[in-house]
Amino acid sequence: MPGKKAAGTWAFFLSAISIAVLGGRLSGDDTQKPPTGPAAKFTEITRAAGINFLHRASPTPKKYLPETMGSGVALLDYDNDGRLDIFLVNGARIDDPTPAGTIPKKDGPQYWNRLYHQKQDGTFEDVTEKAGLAGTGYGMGVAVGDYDNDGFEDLYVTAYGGNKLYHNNGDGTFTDVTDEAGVAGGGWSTSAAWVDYDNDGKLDLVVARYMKWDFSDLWCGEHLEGHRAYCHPDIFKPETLLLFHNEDGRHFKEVSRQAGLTMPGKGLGVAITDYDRDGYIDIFVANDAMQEFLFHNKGNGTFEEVALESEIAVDGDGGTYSGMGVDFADYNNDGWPDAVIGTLANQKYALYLNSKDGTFTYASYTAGLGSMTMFHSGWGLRFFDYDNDGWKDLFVVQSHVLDTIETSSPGLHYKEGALLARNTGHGFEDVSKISGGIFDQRWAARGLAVGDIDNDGRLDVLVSETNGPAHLLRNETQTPHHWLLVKLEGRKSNRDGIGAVIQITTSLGSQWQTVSTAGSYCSSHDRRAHFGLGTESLVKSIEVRWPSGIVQQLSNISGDRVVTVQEAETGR
Amino acid sequence: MRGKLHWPVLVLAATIVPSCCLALQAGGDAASRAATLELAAKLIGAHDLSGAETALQKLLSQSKDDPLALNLLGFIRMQQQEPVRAEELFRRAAKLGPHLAGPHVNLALLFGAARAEDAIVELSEALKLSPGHEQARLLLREIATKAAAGYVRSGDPDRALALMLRAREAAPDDPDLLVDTALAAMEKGLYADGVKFTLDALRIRPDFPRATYALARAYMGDSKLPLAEEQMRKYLAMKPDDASAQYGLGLMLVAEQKVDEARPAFEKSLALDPQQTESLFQLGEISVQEGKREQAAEEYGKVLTRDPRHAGALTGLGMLAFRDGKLDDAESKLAQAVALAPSYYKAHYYYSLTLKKLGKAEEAEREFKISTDLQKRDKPTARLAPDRP
Repeated sequence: MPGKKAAGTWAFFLSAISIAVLGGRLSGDDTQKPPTGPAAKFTEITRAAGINFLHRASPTPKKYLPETMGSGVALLDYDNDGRLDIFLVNGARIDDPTPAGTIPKKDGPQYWNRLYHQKQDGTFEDVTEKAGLAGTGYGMGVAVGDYDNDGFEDLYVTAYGGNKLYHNNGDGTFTDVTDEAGVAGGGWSTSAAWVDYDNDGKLDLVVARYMKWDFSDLWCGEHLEGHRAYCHPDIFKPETLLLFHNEDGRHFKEVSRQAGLTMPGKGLGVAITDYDRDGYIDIFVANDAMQEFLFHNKGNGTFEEVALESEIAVDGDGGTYSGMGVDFADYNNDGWPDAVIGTLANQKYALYLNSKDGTFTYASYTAGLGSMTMFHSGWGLRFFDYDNDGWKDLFVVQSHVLDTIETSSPGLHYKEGALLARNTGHGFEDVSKISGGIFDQRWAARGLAVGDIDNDGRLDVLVSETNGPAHLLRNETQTPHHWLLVKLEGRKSNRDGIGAVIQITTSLGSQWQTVSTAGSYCSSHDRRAHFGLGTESLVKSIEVRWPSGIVQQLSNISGDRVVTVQEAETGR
Repeated sequence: MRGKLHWPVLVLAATIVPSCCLALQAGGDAASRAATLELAAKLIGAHDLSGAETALQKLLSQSKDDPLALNLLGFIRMQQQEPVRAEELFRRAAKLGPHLAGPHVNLALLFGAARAEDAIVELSEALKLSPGHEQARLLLREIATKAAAGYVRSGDPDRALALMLRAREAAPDDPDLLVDTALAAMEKGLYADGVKFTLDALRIRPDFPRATYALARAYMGDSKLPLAEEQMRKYLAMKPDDASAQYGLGLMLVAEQKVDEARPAFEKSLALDPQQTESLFQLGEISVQEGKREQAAEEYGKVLTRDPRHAGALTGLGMLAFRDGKLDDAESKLAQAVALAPSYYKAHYYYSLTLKKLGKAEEAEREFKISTDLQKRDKPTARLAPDRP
């Protein structure tokens, strides 16, 4: 209680407020000013495209926590045919009861992870078996990166009880090289990110782990039928990250301790960016129900956790929240990466504006995101420019973590619609509520990956539900705007160009993108950098700052196409 | 809220009613007995306890088991601060006059809030024997609410709620008791029950401002903010000059993130009660949210003029000083804030940021840990902690 109360009842109100804000959700519509921007049109094409995936969470009355955490998705071009393919992570069988210490197995095709290859006609075919990507355990996340620089994207799949690295053989098949590479990890891994943290030209791997959890029979919630609930993370011990250093393109060494990543957390999301523009990629970890982590790369192979002094550990009032999905991108086009973190209902998604001095300013209120997201729970998310107007918007898939939430907080909902927050250049406005279509559907959504599946310059979205179907959403938003997709090919730098910063400049101004497949929740995006050009069809310049330190410039690039930029031998 | 009752007089009146009835029914000796009882009661009312006792002892010497005489004698003992003997007499009276509500009411009066559970048992019995016994009903409400408030103050909301539920069982159609039961339930965080009890109260007495106010609070606690806002507006239509309610409405609007509407609510609250600090403080908080730092500083400053120990305003000003790079000022204000409100996590957070910037890393980490630990302690039920680990 901050001050003296002026009347007895006021004290009650303050405590009631905190309960209302922290423990429940209002019913009825959120009040917002009407959006000024155009409605978005995302059309669900999942079935028509030949995707018939059902995530199997294996829910039990025991409410084992993995059942509600869902799995991730990936958009990648594994066969370099120029069309994005789809990888979907799946769960495994869980019995009721399952003894503590059990590692669930995929004991039937219904639990397989799935790889869908995009054919020339835009439909997909299931090539899981041929590719050898069915998987083994209770899958969680996926990270895409060409760790051996052979020109073919490889897959790292995280799980409860051990992860897998699949090497892309370049012929449509993958080989499980986990043991040889030494990246199995352990515990409960969630999101992972490929990142060349020491700029040696080889992608390293950072893996978030959720917490120390097993299948012990814990009862959480009231002892009433229908009230048993998934347990709060507070009752489990945190777990450290894993950082695998890529030694030679084949073997990795776990170096989290040497690198200073020793703080245990409850990691669900990982994003990478060079937030202070010192030339070294930093790592952000979204933790559940505790402070967030920002690991500043000191440039000598070690990191320092600086979230507190960077003012990104908690919200603007010092409040911790349940960090889930995360993205790190420059949404205000000032050249400095900003951050957004999806949270649980009543916490407001956390938006941080880069203050350009190594710190961030909590901007959820001033940018309008606080009121928009107060009563929703955000998992997979991504800043991207859905209408190509030159401003990165925010797409978030939402769902409460508790499938029983409506019994304890009737105003909250387990299944929720997706949020599309349009960036007006001055803040965000909710255009999902005027867009209809897929935004009116309610999903128990978890994973989200963004990419241009049809190469039309409008970014599409792939979503997973826990214990539900996947959703492939084709962006059909009517827009007169132009666009550019930039695909990097590193030579001295890692071949994917992950960590490179691309600046494009048109007559309307500049935009920046850090190349990464990471972010969101347990998912992996199209690695191509997308830029909406607004009314400009010509890009005056493209500058690529490669992780190698090479700075490369291109001039007068026409828009509405995919541009591949190979790393120059030398540069400024 | 009704005025405080003069309980001994009321209960005394309650005690003699049956004697009158008895006189009407019987006649003869009974009439003389009734007259004696009435005389004794009058003497008690006139504080002539020895005169009353003489009359009663005379009656008891003729009929030692007269329940009404025993009841009145118990009342005298109670007045004489002899609770053990009084209780004994009331219990004998109750046993010998099983149809009498008076001894039970007197027992409850004797027990008062100090033995609230026992008092409620007696009042339940009294109301069973005499459902229209208004004094029993009023005493039930007073004892239950007073004792429940005491339990809450001493950190035992469970006991408070259990007591109110028992009281409500005794008088299920009493709207005041229903509202008080709702308040006790809300102290336990049982907002859905709070909603139910207040709605029950409003069904019995539709235009009941106190119930409407309580319902607004219950809806708010139950996370039904639009309904809470609706009820609070309804209450304010009945009581437009209630500064507390205007403030409460402002808080609801803040929780709904309707900051534009919250500001006028706090301003109105302030206009109604210009000396208060809380609405002014909330205006400062809103100004910060809106990025109006100078205005916020002015509002926090006014709060501190009125209440120099206002931890919220000190935190606000400390935070603004931190943002302006005035670290010494920030440190001073935030140190005061955490000293004044050790459980205010926001103060600890900004204190930790300031200390960190001042190079006091260890102290900063300590303050940050306090800030985050405080939030764990107050963990809401968004995801429920286990009942049995």
